[in-house]
Order: sequence, then C-alpha cells, then structure tokens
Amino acid sequence: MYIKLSNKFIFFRISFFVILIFFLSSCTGLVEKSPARVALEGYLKNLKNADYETAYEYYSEENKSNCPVNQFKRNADDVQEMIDQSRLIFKSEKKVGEKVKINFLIQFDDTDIDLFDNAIVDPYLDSETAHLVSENSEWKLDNMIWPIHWCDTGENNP
Amino acid sequence: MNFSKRLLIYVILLVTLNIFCFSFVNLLGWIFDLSNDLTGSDPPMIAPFLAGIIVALPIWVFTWRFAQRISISNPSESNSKLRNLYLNIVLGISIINISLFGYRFFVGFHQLFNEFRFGYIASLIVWLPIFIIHIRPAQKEWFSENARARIHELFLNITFLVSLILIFISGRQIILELLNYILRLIFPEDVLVGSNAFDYNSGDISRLIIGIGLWFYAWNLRIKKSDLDFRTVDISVISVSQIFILFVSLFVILGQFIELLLGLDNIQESFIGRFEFFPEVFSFSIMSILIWSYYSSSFIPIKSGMNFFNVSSSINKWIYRYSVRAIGVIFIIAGAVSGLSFLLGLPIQFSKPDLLIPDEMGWETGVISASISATIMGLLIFRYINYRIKKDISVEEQKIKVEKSYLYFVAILFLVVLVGALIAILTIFINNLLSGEIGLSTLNIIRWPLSFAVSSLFILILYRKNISTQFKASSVTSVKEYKVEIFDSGSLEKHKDQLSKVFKVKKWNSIENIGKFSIDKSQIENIPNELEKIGSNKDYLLIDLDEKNIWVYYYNN
Repeated sequence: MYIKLSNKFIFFRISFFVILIFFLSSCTGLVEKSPARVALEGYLKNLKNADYETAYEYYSEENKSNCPVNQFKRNADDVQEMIDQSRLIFKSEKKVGEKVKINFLIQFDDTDIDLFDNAIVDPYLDSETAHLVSENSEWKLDNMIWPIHWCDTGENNP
Repeated sequence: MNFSKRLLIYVILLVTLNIFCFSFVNLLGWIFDLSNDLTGSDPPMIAPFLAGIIVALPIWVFTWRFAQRISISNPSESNSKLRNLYLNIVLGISIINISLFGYRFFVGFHQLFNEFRFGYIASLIVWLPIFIIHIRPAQKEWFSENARARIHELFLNITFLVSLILIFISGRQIILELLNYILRLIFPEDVLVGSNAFDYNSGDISRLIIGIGLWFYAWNLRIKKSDLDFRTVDISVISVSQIFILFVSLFVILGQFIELLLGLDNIQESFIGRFEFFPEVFSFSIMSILIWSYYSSSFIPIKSGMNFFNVSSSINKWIYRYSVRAIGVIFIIAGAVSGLSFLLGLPIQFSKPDLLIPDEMGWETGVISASISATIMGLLIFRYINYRIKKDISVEEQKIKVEKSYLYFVAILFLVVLVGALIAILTIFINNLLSGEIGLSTLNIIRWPLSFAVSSLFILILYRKNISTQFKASSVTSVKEYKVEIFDSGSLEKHKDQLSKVFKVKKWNSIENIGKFSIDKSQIENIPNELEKIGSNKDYLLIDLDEKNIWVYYYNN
C-alpha cells in the first residue's frame, strides 16, 4: 500500500490519529470502586486523620494477632508526619484466589520531613501492594503496608 | 613575551585571584551572617581569610596591571592562547558562582525574610565584578576573521550547552508535574489519600530561570549573532538530538498504548495507574519539540515564514534530513528485529512456555507492541523524509557529501551488526552442539541475534546498489587534497577564503620581512645587528632566494 504524502503535515496527522485511536481504545475497561478498595481507602483515611482505633478495625484477624493495638498506635504515631506529607494513588486491583491485591503509588514530599528520624522507614518506596481478605462479608487488610510495615519496637524496623 | 614568562604571569594571576575570591567570599559570609548560626561567632576564625586577602590582592592587582599594559602595547600578546585561557577560566569560575547564587536566590525567594540569608550575596558581590573585569578582554574581537578567540568560542559553547541542558531538564520536570496534575484532575477518585494540588518545586523553577539566563547570554547575545562553523555544528547536533528524543518518546507512547490494548481486561487498573507512563514520556516530547522548533526554524522553510534566526549554509538542512532518515531506518530495523524475534518465540510459546519470560498477559506483549510501534514510527518517518528529500530538487555539494556519509553510516552500522550477530549465533550454536543441548532452548537464545542478522542483511541487500555506486564513485572522482602551510607577509590575507577552498591549510603564519642579505660571511654576521631592532624573543625565518641571497623574516603571531 502506498500512502501519497502530498502534504507536509500528513506525517503529524497520521501520527496524531494513530495515537488518538490507541489512546481512546485503551481508555476502555476503567474500573469502578470495589468493596475491597473502599476498605483500603477507609484504613488509609483513618490513619491520616490519626483515628488509629478505627484504622485498626480494618485489620484482618491474622494481622491483629500479629500486631497488638497499642503497638500499632505507637507505630502509627511515629509515622504520622510521613503520611501527612504523602499522596497515595490507586493503581491496580487483581483478584488472586480468595484475596484481592491492590497496588497503589506513593508520592512523597520530603521538603518538610526529617529524613534522619529513625521512625521514618524507607520514605522513597514508590509503590505498595495491599492484600485484602473477606471476613464476615467485610474486606480486611491482611498484610502490613506502608507506612506501617512492621509491628516491633524501633530496633527491629525493616 | 616568551612562553615561560607568560605562563608564570597567568598562573600567578589565576592562583592569587582564586585565593582572594575564596577568602573574600568567606569573610563577607561571616560578616553577613548576622545571627552567626552558619559560621560561628568566633572572630579568630576569619584570620586566614584576612591573611589571604592581604597577600593575594596586591599581587593580583600588580600582575594584572602588568599583563594589561603589555597586552595593550603588543596586539600579539593580547591574542595569546595563555592569556585567553586564563581569561576564560576566570569567566567560567565566575559564571558558575553567579549561577549558584542565582539558583539559591530563586529557590529561597518565596521565603526571603526567614530562610534567605545575606551570606548568599557574598559570592555575587565578589564574582560579579571579577566577571565584568574579565569579560571585556576575553571577548575582544572573538569572532573576527583575523584573530578568532577559539578559547572564548569554546567557553561560550560550553555555557550554551549547559544552559540548554538545564532548560531541558527543569522544563521537562515542570511539564511532568503539570501533566501529572492534569491527570489527577481528570480522575480525582484515584487519589486515595493526600492533597490533589499542583506540586510546586522551586528548585526546578530556579534551575529554569538560571538556564534561560545563561542561554540568553551565550546564545542570544553571542553565538546567534555570528554565523561561525561551531554554530552550524551546534544547530545540527541540537536539531537531530531533539527530533530523536521526540521520535523515541512517541514510539514509547504508541508502544504503551498498544500494550494496554493487548492486555485489556487482564487486570483492573485505575486511570492514573494505566496512564502513569504518559506524563513521564510526553514531557520529553513537549520539551524536545519546543527546542527543535526553535533551532530547526533556521534551516527548514515554513509557510508562515517564521524563523528565529538564519543560517547561510544548507549543510544543516541536509545533515538533519539524512539523520532523520537514519533514525527512520533504525526504527524500521528495531521493529523488524523485535517482530521477528516474537515470531521465532511462538514455537517456544506453544511447546515450552516456561523458557520465555512472559508479560502479565502470558505472552511477550511488550515485544510485539514495541515491534508494531517501531514499525509504524519507522515507516512514517522514512516515507515522510524521503518525500522531503525528493521534493527538494536543488543539487548542492553539501547534499552529496551528507548523502555519502549517510550511506557509509548505513553500510558500516549494519555490517558491524551483521558480523556481531553472526558471531553470537555461531558461538551459541557451537557451544550447545558441543554440550549436546540443541533444541528449543537454543532457538530461544539465538532468536535475538538471528533477528538482528536477518534484518541487517535485508537492509544491506536493499542498499547494495547505492553503497556500491558510492564506493565506485568515490574511487573514481575522489579529489586530491593538498595540505599547505602558509607564510603570509600581508599580500595573501585577502585571498584567505579562496586558498582555504583550494588547499587544506594546516597552519597560517603571519610574517614580517626584515630584509634581503647576501650569502657571504660579512652579511650573515650582519644579520644579528638587524635583528636587534626587533628583539631576541621573536622567532626568525631564513629562506634562500637563490644561490647568492636570502630573505629574513620574523613571525608576527
């Protein structure tokens, strides 16, 4: 097939239309908010609002057994500054067996943060995956995620 | 002045100037740091700075005045390479310090009264006068035909390229943040936690302002105004590199869209997650097209007639067109290589899929989407630029030269790729044969070098006629080049351009005639008496005119 290039802007026109077609086609299939995502949002928002008790309620039974509420509160308090300076963006969601894996991006503004504070762990982590399980018809967080990766005292931080 | 004396003077000047400036900046920093939280309040700590100023300043002032006096009385001294080197090194150091001040100033501008410290001004107070003192002698007739200051050209060129890099990096970062912001605005639901506001980074803005300032000085006020050969090189390099960045970014965007299409419904992704790549890549496209538009306007005719400056030579146009053609060929080859490799991977995909590294879809979607994208880009670029080249019917010497270089580039590049790929294929094959492991795993390893070999061979076959014609033509019609060293006593100067076209001028010596002497004992002994009027620090030249006479000259530069 021969395309007659009689116009000097034909190159840009073709490129533009090709890219536009691919752009519009790839826009299809964008997702609605799933109950698992709503649960994750609830956990993160409560953490940001320093409502640690409510945030802890979003933990699964297994997570709760690994991390007592008081330790969770202490850790959350240590990293409050970090979550205040962060923007978390939902990236993708995938169902794997009984679990739902939600990946989100972490954008971190370090201008007002003391990065030498021991409590602040791996501030430049750029994405995180949350595992959610259904317990009594409610979605619960089944792993420790950023910014509270751990449940030990400061010495054993990852 | 002889070389060693000159070297001594300018080394003294450079060392004392730097000692003085370093000491003075520190002293001023201490004085301006009113709260003394940066340098401490202990006065004895300024002792070395005061000593540095007291020792270095008088030496520098005395030596500088001496050097200035000599350069004013002797034009050859003012054009000496050592002097120019000293002046431009000082200009370079000054401009770095002034730029650093500017960066800090603009970064702290929004917090002028609580964060910005007067100590920052110290480097400006010290280095700005130094820059002003040195700029006038450094740029004196820097673009004149007779005494071009090549070192100053180099200084301007480096400043210009650094400024363009600063503009590109910081401009791209600002556009990236803007596009990310637009993406968040389109779909705010994707932001789980945190502010949705525009991320303002004062560092990028400050870098951009400094970059524009340096660009304005080096390009707009200097390089742009003189159509010198290094400007031609700059324009070619910038235009080609920017169009290359643009094409690569469009290739990545197209490839990502195709990959998204191939992987539809496999995973539920958010809008921002799906188009996360777009701001990252498209910010490169925007910056490159902005810079490309400005510099290519000088040699690509546009209907509106809008061009920001003019270049007299058509070499830029042809270098640009044939470089774009080479980029087109590289894209086509990249598409063919990845496409062929994908096809060769299909039998492995069906029989032993565990040998492959699949994408999330389970197939090598990244490879096939890159192949489609590269092929589309390559074909569009190649056909468009061929159309432009064919449409331009002017037969110019530059076009022939550049076309020849293009063919050599294609021939050498693909020959090297072919040889390398064949060696790799044979090495893998013999290795597997000796170890008795010939099978699908061998095909899996050799499919990439095999694709390279087939594609390069295809291109070489496609271009075989042009390449062989070019080699034959160059062997028949090659023009012999004569190298000459010229000793000019004044009359050849006005024919310099013509001589440069006919000969390759290795060195142009300007000489002054002293006189004609007979070749006999008394006359030869008399020559030093004549030379005494000129001085012993000159280099002299004796040429025999015939069997009885010689001419005596001295070098004027």
